[in-house]
Amino acid sequence: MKNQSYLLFCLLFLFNASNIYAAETVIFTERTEISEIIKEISEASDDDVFKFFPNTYELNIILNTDKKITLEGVDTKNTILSSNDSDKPIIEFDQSSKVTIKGFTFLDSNKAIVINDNRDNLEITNNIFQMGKENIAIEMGSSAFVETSVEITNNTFYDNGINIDSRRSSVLVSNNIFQEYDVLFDDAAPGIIKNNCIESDLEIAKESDGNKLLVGDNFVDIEADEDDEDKKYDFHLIEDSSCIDVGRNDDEVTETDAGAYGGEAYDQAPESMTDTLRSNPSKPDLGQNMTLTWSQNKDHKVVGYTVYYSREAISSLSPESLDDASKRKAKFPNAILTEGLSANLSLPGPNVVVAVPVAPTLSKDNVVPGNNRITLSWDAVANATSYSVTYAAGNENPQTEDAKDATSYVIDGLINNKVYDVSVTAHNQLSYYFQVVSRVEKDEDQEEEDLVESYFHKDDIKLDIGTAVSSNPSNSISVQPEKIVAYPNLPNEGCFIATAAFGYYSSSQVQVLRDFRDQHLLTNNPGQVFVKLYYHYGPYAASIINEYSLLKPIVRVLLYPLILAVETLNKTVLGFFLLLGVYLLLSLAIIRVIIIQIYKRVSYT
Amino acid sequence: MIRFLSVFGCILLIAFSSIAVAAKDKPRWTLELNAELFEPRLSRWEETYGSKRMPVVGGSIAYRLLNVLDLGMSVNYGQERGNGYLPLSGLESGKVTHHMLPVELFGLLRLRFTENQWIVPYAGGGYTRFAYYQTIAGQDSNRGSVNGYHARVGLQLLLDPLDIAAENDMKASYGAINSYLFFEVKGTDAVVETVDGNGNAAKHQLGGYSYKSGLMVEFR
Repeated sequence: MKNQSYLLFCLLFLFNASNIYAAETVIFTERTEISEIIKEISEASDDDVFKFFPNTYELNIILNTDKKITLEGVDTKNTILSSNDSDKPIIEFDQSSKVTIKGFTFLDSNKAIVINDNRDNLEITNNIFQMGKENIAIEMGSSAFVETSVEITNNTFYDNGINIDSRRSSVLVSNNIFQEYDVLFDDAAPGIIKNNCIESDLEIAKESDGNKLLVGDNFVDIEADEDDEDKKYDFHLIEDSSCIDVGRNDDEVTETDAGAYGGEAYDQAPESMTDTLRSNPSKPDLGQNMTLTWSQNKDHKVVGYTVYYSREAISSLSPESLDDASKRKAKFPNAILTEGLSANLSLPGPNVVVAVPVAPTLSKDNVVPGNNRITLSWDAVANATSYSVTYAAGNENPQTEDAKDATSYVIDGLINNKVYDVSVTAHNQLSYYFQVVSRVEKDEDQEEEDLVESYFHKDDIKLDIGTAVSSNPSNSISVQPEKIVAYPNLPNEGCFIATAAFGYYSSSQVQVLRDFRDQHLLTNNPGQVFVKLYYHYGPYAASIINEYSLLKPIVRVLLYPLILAVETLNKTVLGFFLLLGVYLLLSLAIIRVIIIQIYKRVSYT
Repeated sequence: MIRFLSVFGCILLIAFSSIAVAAKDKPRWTLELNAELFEPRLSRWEETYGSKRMPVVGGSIAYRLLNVLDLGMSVNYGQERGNGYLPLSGLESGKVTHHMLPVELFGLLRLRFTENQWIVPYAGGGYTRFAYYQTIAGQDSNRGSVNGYHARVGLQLLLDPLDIAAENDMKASYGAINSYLFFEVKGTDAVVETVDGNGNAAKHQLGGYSYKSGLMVEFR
C-alpha cells in the first residue's frame, strides 16, 4: 500500500511537471485581440513559440521574460507589426532572456526594436524593417551584461533613418540587406559585420568580410504604389539580384541569400498570385474549356504554381486549417500543380447538371412597408445561390434588383401610399472559387508537411460558369409603403398660421409653404432670421385664428396669392417677384382701405 | 378619506413632535436635484416604447415667500426609444425617440413649523408647459409644446441631524443651511389636440404620474 501511494505521488508529480514545463505553440490571427497577445506573451513558458498569422498588428510589447521564447511571423511580407503609440517602440527588450524575433515586417513606426538590457543571446532574423526616413530600425543601449550577444542576421533594412544604433560591441550583423537609408550604423559601429549586401560605398561596406555592394534591381517589387497606405514591398530576390548567395549559413561555408528571404529559417512562402488571375473566356459556358492566366512571380526561388479550386469559398477557411501541406492536400485533393514559370493553365470546363431551385415563398408578415421602402425576408430554398426581388406598381414595368445570396432585402426609393406587388426569384449559378499560389522547391531535410508555397490570398477569384438557372417567381404580395409616424402622433408646429387657416398640417397648400421654408428661407441668413421671428410670433397668430374661425377664410384668401407666388418660383424667379410685388401692393391697398374705413367710423362717432 | 386623514394627521403629529430649535438664519432659496420614474398615461406607451415608465431627471429652484409657501420653477427632461408605426397598415416600423421637457411654475405648501423639523410633508401644484420633441429615423422630426397643469404631494426628510459636522461644513463652504431627502408623487395633465391628414381629430394626453426622489438644499 505504501509503495502504491509512493508510485501515485510520483505519477502525479510527473503529470504536473509535464504540464508546467510543456512548450506550447500559440497562434495569433486577425481575430486575436491585442490585449490577449500581450497577456499570452507575458505568461510565456520556456521554448514557447508565438506564431503570428498574416495581419497588421498594432502593438507595443515589452519583453521582460526570463523564458526562452520565439515570436514568429508565418508570412513575412504580410505579417506586419507597427506601433499603436508613436512614442513607444514596437518591441522593447527589458531584462529579457533568449528571445528570437523572426518573420515580421516592421512598418512605419518611431522605432521597431529597442534593446535596453538582455541577459542572454537575442536573435533578430528574417525580418523586414521599413520604418521611414525619420525613424530607427534597431536601437541598442549599453547593457550591463556585455558578454551576451545580439545576432542580427538575414534581415532586409529598407527606407530607414538609422538602421542600427548600437553602443555595444557584442553584436553580429550578417547576411542582411541595407538599402535606402540615411545612416547605416549610428554611434559606435556594432561588433562583427560580415556577408551583408549594402547600398553604399562607405568604408564599412567594402568587400572585406564578405560584404557586398548592392547594385541594380534586386527585389521582386520595389515600385509599389506610393499612395498605397501599407507602403510595403515584396523583398523576395529576383533572378539577377546582387544579394543572391552573399550570405553564409551557420557552418560559415554554405552560401545563402542575404536579406529576409535567405538563411536557414526563412519563410519559404512566396507571394500568392491569386489577385492577378484571369480567365478566358471570362464567363465560360458549361463544358467549355477555359484558360487561366496570372502574373509571373519574379522570386528566383519559385519553381511553379499550384491552382486550388472549389465550389465553396476558399478564403473563408481559417488560415490555421491550411498552414501545412498535408492539410491542404486533404482539403483540396484536386489541386493542380504546374511546373516551371509558365503562368497559365488550361482547364476543361465542368459539364454538370445545375439543379433548378425551388420557388421561394413570401408571407405577408415578412413583407414590411416603411417610409419610401419595403423590407422583405424569406426562407432560403434548396439549390439557390442567389435571389432577385421584383416589384411593380400597377401597370408599370416591373423592376428587378439583385439580393445576392441574402435572404432579406430592402427596396428603397419607392413612392409612399402607392401599392406595389413584390415577389422573389431564386437562382442557381454554378461558380468556382480559385486561388493560385507560388511554390518553391522543398529542401532535402524538410518534412512532408512543411509548406513550401504561398499562403492563400485574402480574396478568392470567383468564376461563374454557364448561365444561372432560375426558379419560378414566388407568390406576389401587395404592399403600400407609407410615412412612419411616432406614437403619439404629435403635430410639428411648422407653418402655424397656414395650418390653422387650412385646417390641417398635411394639406397641400401648407406643404408648399413648408417646402418654400426649407428650400429658400433656411438656406440663407435673412431667411433664417425671418423663420426665427415667425416661429416666435406665429403661434400667437395661429391661436387667434383657431379661436375665431371666421378669420380662417380671410387668412386663406390672403395666403393663396403667396402660395401661388411660391409655386411660380419653382418655374421662374422673375414670375415669383412679379407675383410677390402684386401681392404686396394689393395687401397694402386692402389694409389702407380698412384703416380709412375705421378712421371714418371713429370720426363719425 | 378617513384613512387618508388619519395618515396625514399622524404625519403632522410626527412633524410637530420633532425636536424644534429655532434657526438663526432663515433660508430663503431652495435648490433641488431629482430623478423620477414617469409613467405616461398614453394607452399604447408600453407596447411602443417597451416599458411602462421612463426615467426623467430634473431640477428646480424656489423662493420661500412665506414660512410655509415656496414659489418656484422646475425643469425636467426624459427620453425613450421605441418603434414607429405606419398609420394605414398599423404595423410597427422604424425607430422613434420621444423626448419630453416639461417646465413647471409651482407653488408648494410645506408644513414646516420649525427650521429643524425632521419630517416636512408638502403639497403643491401649478402650471406646466409641456414641450416635446420626436425624432423618427430617416424622416423629419416633430417638435412642439402644450399647456397643462400638475399637482404633487410628498415628504421631505431633514438630513442634517445625521451628520452635524457635515452640515456645518456645508454651511461654511457653500452657505447651504438645510438639506433634505424627499419622496414625491406627481400627476401631470397636458393634452395635445391633433387633426390628421384625413381630417380626423384626436387627443393625446402627454401627462402622467411621476414617482420622484431627490435632494433639496436650502440657502439663505
